[in-house]
Amino acid sequence: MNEIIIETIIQVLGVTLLSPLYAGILDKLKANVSTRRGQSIFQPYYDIFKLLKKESVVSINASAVFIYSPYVVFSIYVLISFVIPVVYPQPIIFTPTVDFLGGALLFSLAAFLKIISAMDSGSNFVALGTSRAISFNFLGEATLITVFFAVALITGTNNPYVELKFAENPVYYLALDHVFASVAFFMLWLFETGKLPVESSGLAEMGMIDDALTYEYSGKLLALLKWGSYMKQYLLGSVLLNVFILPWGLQTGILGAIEDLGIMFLKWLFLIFIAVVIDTSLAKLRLYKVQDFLAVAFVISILSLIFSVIEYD
Amino acid sequence: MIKMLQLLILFLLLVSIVISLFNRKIGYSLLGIASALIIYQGLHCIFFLIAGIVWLLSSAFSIFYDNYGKWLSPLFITSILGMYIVLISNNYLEFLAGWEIMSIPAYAIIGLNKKIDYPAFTFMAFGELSTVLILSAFIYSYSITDNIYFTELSSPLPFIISTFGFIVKMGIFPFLVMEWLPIAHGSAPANSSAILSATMTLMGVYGIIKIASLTQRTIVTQDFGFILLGMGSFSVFFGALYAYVSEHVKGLLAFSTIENNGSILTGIGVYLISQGVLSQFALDVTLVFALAHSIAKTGLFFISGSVEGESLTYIKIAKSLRGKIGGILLASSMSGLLPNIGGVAAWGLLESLFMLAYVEHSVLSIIPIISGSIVAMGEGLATGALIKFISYTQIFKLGKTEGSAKVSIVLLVGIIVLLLGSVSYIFFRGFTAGAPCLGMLEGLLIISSYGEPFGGISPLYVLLLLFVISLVTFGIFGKPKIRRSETWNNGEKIEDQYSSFALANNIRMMLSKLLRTKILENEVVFSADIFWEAMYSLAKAYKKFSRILSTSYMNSSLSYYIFYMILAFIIITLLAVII
Amino acid sequence: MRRKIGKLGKFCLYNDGYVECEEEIEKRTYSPAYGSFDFVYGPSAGGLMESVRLDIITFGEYIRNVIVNPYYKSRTIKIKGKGINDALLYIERINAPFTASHTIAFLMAIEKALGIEVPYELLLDRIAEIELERIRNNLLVIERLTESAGFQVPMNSLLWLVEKVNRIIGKYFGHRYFFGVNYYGGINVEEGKIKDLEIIEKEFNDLFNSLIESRIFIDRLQGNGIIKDEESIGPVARAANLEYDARNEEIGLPYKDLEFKISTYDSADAFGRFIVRGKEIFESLNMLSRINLKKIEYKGKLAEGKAIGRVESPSGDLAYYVEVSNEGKISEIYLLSPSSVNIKLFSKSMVKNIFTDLPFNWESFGIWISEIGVKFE
Repeated sequence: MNEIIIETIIQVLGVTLLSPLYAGILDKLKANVSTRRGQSIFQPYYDIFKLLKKESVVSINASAVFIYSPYVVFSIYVLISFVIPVVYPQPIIFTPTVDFLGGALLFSLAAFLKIISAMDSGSNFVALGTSRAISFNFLGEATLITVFFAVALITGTNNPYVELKFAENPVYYLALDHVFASVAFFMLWLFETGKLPVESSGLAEMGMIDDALTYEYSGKLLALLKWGSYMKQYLLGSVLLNVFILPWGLQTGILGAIEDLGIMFLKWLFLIFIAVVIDTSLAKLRLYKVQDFLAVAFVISILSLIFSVIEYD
Repeated sequence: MIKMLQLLILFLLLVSIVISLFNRKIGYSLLGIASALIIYQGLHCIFFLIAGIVWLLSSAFSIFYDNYGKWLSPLFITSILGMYIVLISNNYLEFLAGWEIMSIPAYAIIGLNKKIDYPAFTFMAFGELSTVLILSAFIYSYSITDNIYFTELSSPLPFIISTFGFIVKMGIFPFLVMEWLPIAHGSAPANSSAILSATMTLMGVYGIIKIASLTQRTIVTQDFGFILLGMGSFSVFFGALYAYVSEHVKGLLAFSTIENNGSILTGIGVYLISQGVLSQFALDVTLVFALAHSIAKTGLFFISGSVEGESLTYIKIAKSLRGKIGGILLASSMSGLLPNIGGVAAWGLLESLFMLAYVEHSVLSIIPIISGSIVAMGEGLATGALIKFISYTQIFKLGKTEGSAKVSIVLLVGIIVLLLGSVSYIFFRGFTAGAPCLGMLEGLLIISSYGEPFGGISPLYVLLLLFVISLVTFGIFGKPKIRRSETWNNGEKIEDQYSSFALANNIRMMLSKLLRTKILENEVVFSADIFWEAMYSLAKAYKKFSRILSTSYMNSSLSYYIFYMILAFIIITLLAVII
Repeated sequence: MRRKIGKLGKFCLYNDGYVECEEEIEKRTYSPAYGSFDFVYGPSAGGLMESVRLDIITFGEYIRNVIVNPYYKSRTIKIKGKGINDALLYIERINAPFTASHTIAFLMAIEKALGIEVPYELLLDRIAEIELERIRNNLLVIERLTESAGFQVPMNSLLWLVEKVNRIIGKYFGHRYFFGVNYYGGINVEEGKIKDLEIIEKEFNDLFNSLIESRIFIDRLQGNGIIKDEESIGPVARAANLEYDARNEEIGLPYKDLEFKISTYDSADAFGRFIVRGKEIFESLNMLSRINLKKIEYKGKLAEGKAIGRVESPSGDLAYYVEVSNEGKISEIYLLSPSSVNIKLFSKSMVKNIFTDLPFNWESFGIWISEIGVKFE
């Protein structure tokens, strides 16, 4: 029992504390590739600490919903770090709270709260971003759920830990359905974490999608939302790595759990490398082409389902 | 004992109809007492529970809400009486009598409220189509069983025919018009919309499940299940899509009901196709879905009753923190988000589709796969629709800040929806488990299963963990230092707010082929319900038919209509007396 | 072929002369429609370099109309009654990115008014200034386009190129924005051929080709902000296959001797403007390679007179109308800035596009707000 508690602590703290680092490395490398020296890889931490100390400017239209939701949004991501294999490859305490699909519903809950609380500010820019975010939602959500369908069809459960075990086996890893599901999930990861070709963060308001949701936030509340989105990026990325792209190598036991932190770091370097290549070689898609991008992801995920039916028929 | 209770409730309902003719507040209060008794009765049957809760909340809301004419409260309660009769009936005649007592006042409410006849007539025409289908199914089953009481049916035909009858009433694809027309065009009062949308369609679900439970499972019912799966998932998608682009405060909710009814029908489909454990799980999910939808939808209609005006872009609203929190809880439950009951329902439905696909594991799996994907798309659109609704009735739109008793009821419904999630274990008997070594107590995990365990969630744990972690987060980071300022708008004062029409315009443009969007100089034209438009233009093309209709039926304003109602009422009363 | 350029004070300016004409106040109205509202963008926004307010009338994402208000950054400049070289100090600060165009147009008006014969070499120096300014501005416009597309690598490379051009300008003219370079009576310049231009040509060539090959990037520009208008100027006109270019016309600068070739494109959209600007960079580099900078002076004189001076600034025709009194003081001055013409074209071209197209279209016009809200006193 003690052992599992320690493993739990390692996973949850690992997610919470290390997630900004990966964002920092990604930004640094992106800067380097585009001929800049770039900021320190620890910049996200500096930002968070700076913001935590600052006061929050809150619009006069906003209510308590606006002020307290960031705490809940942050907590949802902490909760998710209990339930999916993002550091440690075996179930830890509270893992059965939700299964894979339930986890997806928790991600949706966080997105929902983020949108609603941002809208509470009454800002037109938030409404602009919301209008875009929710209009792509239907394809994003559908892809996420079909990918989980694929997992379910392959393993007969809705349990990411079982899928991890399955994927370690080369026969399943190289099967078409797994490959297609991986591609679809990767495209979704790009969309969900606001990466090119879907979105790029910058100064321009007109192109905002996800950025609009933090537009009215400042100070401590912004710090929480930023940190939350680093965690989201880490959580989704780690599912992508552990369940789909690189399922191998994770160790068990207390020592293993600590080693896993390092192993995850290496796996993440791989993902960051791909992300940097994409982020620096692509431009941002026209708004309504994002729909096509997601539709492609959706079709790929459906193909993966159909392959899995055909293969095991 | 149960019989006594039923008689008491019937008596109370009849008394409240009579009293409401003189004093509607007392009438609604009596209805409330009757509903409380129905909830007590519902401890044995979930349909009574759902209906009882909705009626209790509606009666409480109506006390503060009803400022329509004298006619509303007696008609409202009569309709509820009809539904109650449907629920307690144990034979076809009673069922049908209840069905008509439920329907006719609803026609009247819509007919009397607005002087446009055509919504009421359309509603009635389709409503009677539904009745005719149910009636013929019942006559057929009487002819094969020689018994007017509900007994086992060897032929699937009555089930199939009556199901179509019920589906029409539920506004399922392609009969979407049945749901949105009376509410949006007829502009039914909020409390009536709530019972139209939440419980009248619930009666449809009840009817389908009731007759299904009598029918022997054969390959035919199984195939029929696949058809329901398809129709259900299409309804989910189109209901959600039209809800998303709808501008009518109540019309949006009506379309959302279509979406939910589609989900419920999909659940029934899985229930019919599968066998054993999975079938049982799908049935439980269907019932939980009906519960989640009915109650949350009631609350949302209450919100729609507290605004002035009909179009989301131009309504006047009163905001309050209670309304916001209540609204957020209701909208999140309706969007299928944990830890609300709606989340449990959405999870269960998708999980049953997953399992069905896995169990079938053949080319047939493609049907649940496609249905599941369409349902998932619909869920995404529905979330958008509800975000829009709640933003423009409480969250985003500027309005005066003011709480009222009506708003407190909304908050109450929101909390009920949240707490129901955490007690949803009671609806999944035999599907609960635990994992003590991972900190999950026995019985607090809902397990989806097709014989083998498939997945699981624990809504109570989600609620508690979120609460605890949020407290810890708050403890670590502390309260933010707040400074208030104007909303940032490029350094200018906000003159025009982002309109609700604009919020949904992306989808109108992205799905322009599906919605047939045309952007003109001063207008955006799009289809509000393509199936209804098709039917309508078909009818118009059918000139002769339309001329007959217009001279003999539709054109003569209310007289024929009232004549029909009185006639139907007499027949039903006679029927009731005979029984 | 006669074309209208725009409103210059109380005159209407044509390529071959000017006439007095009434201000035609073009009130762009829009009728109210269900669900449509006014989305305000600017004056203080991250995506805009200068203070300008765009009232976007929209159904949501779809733009019905744009009303531009550039007068958040308006200035009243006291010039009348000042001496020519004193006035120049104000003129060159109206819009720093276009300083060469402004000062040269102003000086050309003065010189014409006073009937001064300007030495040929000095005219060549002036062409060098304007063309260097054009290269820098076009690079910057293209950089802003890539920035809107979140296209990191070319964006940073272009910024670096802009810096290199700035350094060249600084090296040969003593100031990166041509402040204090032109004066009544001569020019401050480092003599000789401009070096390092080949490097810029090579680097820009690589960048330009890779940008044209990026499907996603091109997609953001193609079909965006289509405008084909007889009254358009500069790259906007040339992108619509209208051969409008002051360099091809008799304005008093010897472009013909440098074998200037006009660059056009036929798509009339933001992509066309992008291509035209790209081609013009090569054309300007080509002309620069033929110029040998020389420090030359001429003698001024005291006389009365009035005239118009016009040049092709990076964004189109830029003209000054100047009246000089007997004592060599400015008695009347009007400015026709290219941005004031382009801003009208911009708001016409934006109709029926969507919000996310706006930054691309806006940048493709190369509008500088600071030269619009200028009043002379």
